[in-house]
Amino acid sequence: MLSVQQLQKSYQAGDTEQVVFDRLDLDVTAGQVVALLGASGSGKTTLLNLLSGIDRPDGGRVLIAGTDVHALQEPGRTLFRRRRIGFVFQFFNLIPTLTVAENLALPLELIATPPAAVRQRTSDLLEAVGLPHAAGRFPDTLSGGEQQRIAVARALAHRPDLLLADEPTGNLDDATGELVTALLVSLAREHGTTMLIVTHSASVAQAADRVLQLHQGRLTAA
Amino acid sequence: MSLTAHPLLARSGLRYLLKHRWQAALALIGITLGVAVVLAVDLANGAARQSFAESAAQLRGDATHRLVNPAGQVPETLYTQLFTTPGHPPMAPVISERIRVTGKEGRYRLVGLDLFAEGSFRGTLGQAIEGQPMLTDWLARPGATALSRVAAETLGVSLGDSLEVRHQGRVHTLVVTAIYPADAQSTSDLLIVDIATAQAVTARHDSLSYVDLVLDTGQQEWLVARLPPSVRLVDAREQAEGITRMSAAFELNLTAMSLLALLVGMFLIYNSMTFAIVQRRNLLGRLRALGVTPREIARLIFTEALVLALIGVLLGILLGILLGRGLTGIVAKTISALYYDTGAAAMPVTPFALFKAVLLGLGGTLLATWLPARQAASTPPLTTLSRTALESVTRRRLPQVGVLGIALVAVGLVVALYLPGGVVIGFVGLFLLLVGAAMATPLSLGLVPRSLRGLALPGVVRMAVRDLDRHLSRLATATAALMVALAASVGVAIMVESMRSSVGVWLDSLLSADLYVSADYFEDGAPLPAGAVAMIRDMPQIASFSRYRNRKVDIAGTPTAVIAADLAPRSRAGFRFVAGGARTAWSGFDAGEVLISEPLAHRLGVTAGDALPIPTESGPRSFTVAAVFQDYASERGRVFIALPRYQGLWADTQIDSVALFARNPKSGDLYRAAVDRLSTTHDLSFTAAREIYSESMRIFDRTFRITEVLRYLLLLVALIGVFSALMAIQLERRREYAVLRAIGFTGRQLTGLILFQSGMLGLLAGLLALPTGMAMAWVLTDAIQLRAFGWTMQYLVTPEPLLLSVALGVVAALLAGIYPAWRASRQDPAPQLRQD
Repeated sequence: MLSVQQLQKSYQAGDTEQVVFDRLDLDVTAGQVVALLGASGSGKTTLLNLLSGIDRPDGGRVLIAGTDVHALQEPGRTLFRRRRIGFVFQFFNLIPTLTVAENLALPLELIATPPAAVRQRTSDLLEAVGLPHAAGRFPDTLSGGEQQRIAVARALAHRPDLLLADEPTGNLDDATGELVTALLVSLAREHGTTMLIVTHSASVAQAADRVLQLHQGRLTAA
Repeated sequence: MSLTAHPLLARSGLRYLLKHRWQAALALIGITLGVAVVLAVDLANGAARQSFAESAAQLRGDATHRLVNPAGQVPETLYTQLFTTPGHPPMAPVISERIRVTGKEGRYRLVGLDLFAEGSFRGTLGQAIEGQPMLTDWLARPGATALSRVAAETLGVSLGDSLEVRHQGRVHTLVVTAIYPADAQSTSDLLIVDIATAQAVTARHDSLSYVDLVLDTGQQEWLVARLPPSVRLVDAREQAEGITRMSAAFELNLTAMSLLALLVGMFLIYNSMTFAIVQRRNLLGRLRALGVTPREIARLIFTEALVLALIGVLLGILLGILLGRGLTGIVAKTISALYYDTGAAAMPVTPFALFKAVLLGLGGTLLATWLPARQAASTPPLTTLSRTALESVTRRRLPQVGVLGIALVAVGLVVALYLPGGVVIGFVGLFLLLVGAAMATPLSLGLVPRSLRGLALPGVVRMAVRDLDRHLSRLATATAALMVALAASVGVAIMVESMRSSVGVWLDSLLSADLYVSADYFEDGAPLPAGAVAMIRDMPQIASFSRYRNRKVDIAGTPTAVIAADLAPRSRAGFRFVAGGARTAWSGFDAGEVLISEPLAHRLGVTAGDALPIPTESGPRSFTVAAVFQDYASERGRVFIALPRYQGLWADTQIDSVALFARNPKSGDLYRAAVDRLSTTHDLSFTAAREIYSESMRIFDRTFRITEVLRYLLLLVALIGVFSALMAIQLERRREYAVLRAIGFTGRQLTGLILFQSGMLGLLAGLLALPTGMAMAWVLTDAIQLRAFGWTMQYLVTPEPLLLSVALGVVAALLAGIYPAWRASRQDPAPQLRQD
């Protein structure tokens, strides 16, 4: 489902060039949940940004369900992300000026889902994350854990092929973090979504099918 | 492609505006004031034009054509001759003159009609008069006058009351015998009398102002064949339209100034939208990560702008109508003083004026939003740009934008000063210059922290200076907006001052005589009584004197002053020639050639040596232009012709005024001698040069009152704009201020920091406005005035507008800083620190 081939990326830091990835390869099969571990600054977030087409590599290819993401032009990459990829961020990143239900509806509206289907899907997802009563509330009236549950629901709303989660429990206490992880993994499995989850948490790693370690630009099994 | 955003995105954007309603309200001010000023000027111009058109249409009645004499009056004998010829078309003679009413300000229109000939023409007017019980009086009683209800109210008279009127020094008494029920403001200065009364009042027994006609095509030929060369048949409607065209340049000047207010408003909109985008850069990044395309982001921003624009335009229209009511009187007075008689008619709010305001408001807002929308669309997904990074992007672009701005200033100057074309080209150059200067402002602003870096500044001052660098992207636009408004104010002030000075110098050299004698007040141009000139000539106190006869002649469709003059050497010395030398000028003049004023030369595109056709009582004649002289008396231009040549062509030996040069100017006995000798036998006006000078300068100042009003309106727009921009910045920095309070800054120190920062921005805007304003004044004096009115003038910079600009900048910015400073110093820092 996900194939990364010979991926290269480096940054210019002052006069020196800092190599992040030098010919990185990765293959993930459909429906697999992969945990990605690594020290701060090892390039985990950069890898997610390259996979989603947010950032551009210096070389190599990223194939998602057979589509070479970086062969697409910028509008194409955005539309690809809109339809095929879901995101969960450390800081939730909900839209503060939309209600909870509207936050869930946004990815569906962007892919022109009929209103009735949007309502049904939104309602189902709110039930699934245990927050059906929160539909009309604004994100800033929810707790951190609740916000992240809504973020998980939003990431899955449009049934993406690939779910990318960047330290989704990093901003939560341990107990809430475990709840959110369990929810995220179970929903991903239920939807059959391939998931790559960047984490420092051992419990998250335990829930994954595969655990990889990113170190000095290379991926190794942990 | 849809221009508006996805419904959910649009909802999100609108909720953002509601959540930041202070910010949105401040953005609205820019749109509202811009639209209001443009609409107000448009409505005021329209009101003046409509008032004239209504009045002209009412007086024209059903007349299709008019017999006029471009060189003066229509002989009454021609009317009699045509009227007694079988097969003549319906025709009505009219005498129309300006008179004064004792005890009332301004001048009134006396219109003499022949009621028996009126049937086919001014039916309503005729019926109104005929319907009155005092019709017999109207016909039989000399001095009977009919007034509209509005005119009666204006004059404070009712039926049977007497009115003392003056025309060219003669006093007459009119009696109000009819008041007809017309409420149009355009009739407020109209006194209708029988033609015989008009002849008595104006002492015009053998000539008419014009003859109205109802003609079909066949009759036109019949009539033209019977006209002498001096009389012309014109289309009555076209003639009225031609008169309103005279004020086109003046109205364009006002419109351009109002557009300047819109331009400043656009800066404010740009500033608000940029601010809203910078504030939301993380949110936009999130949307991009979710798959929202750059185009959809741009549409979101345009949707927000459109909502603001719609509300702003609506408020702007309401405010514009109110403001327009205030401006209408001032514009009408100026147009009446300079071009044609028009009243302050009820201001018509036409759908077209509203459409223009909506178009300008929406177009201006969307144009001002274009760059911020592009900026928003280019937000990278999950934006990694910090504020510092964003500012560094702004700083990197500074030199490019700055250089582009400077280049635009140069292009603007070239376009305005050197490109051929009318006044519109001049204004295009002026706008390019202003936009260029605004673009160069951030570069100048960015240089300040750098140049002060090495100095050991006190803590708060150092913070304020560094903040300039840190918030450059936002502060630069606010400063540019204030700079543009201040520069416009400086530019207009220098232009008015330059012109005032040029007019002063011109009047000084022109008014070289010691005493001026005229039949009535000098502006009325009435002929001197017979024998007066001979009595003046015999006065032993006189070294020399000049004689003048002033006529209005239609040259190239515009009423133009033709002055027949017999000039003394000292009068001749007062002329400054801009084309043709003095020696050839005076030898040509004495040989029958004409001297024309600079505005006339500019209007007709003629210069020394060219031929100029002028209608005379003896029919059209071609004159050689001996020279072009500098003149500010009339933008329509003036022609000087030697008195003997005029007398030969016009068969008119009368004199309007005489300029006397004393043998001993210092003794001061000329005035006394002239009064003693002449006032016993004649009703004359004796005016010293100084009095004419003062009166002329008073008229000048009155003419530019509307410009002053607009200048202050423009400053008001900028003041509120800068207040809004600074306020928005200060509001966004509440958390930063809370941190400063938390680490021990006192409320007073915080107030000092904010006020110092604001004052510094105002000072910078004021200083930057100086070169921009001076360049603008250069364009206004050397290009716009020349292109619009044909005037060249000396460029004069006085310190007053420059100092005022800097002071205004600082005061405006300090005012803008007071409220945020007060708030920041009183605010409890804890809630701000708790917020994410």
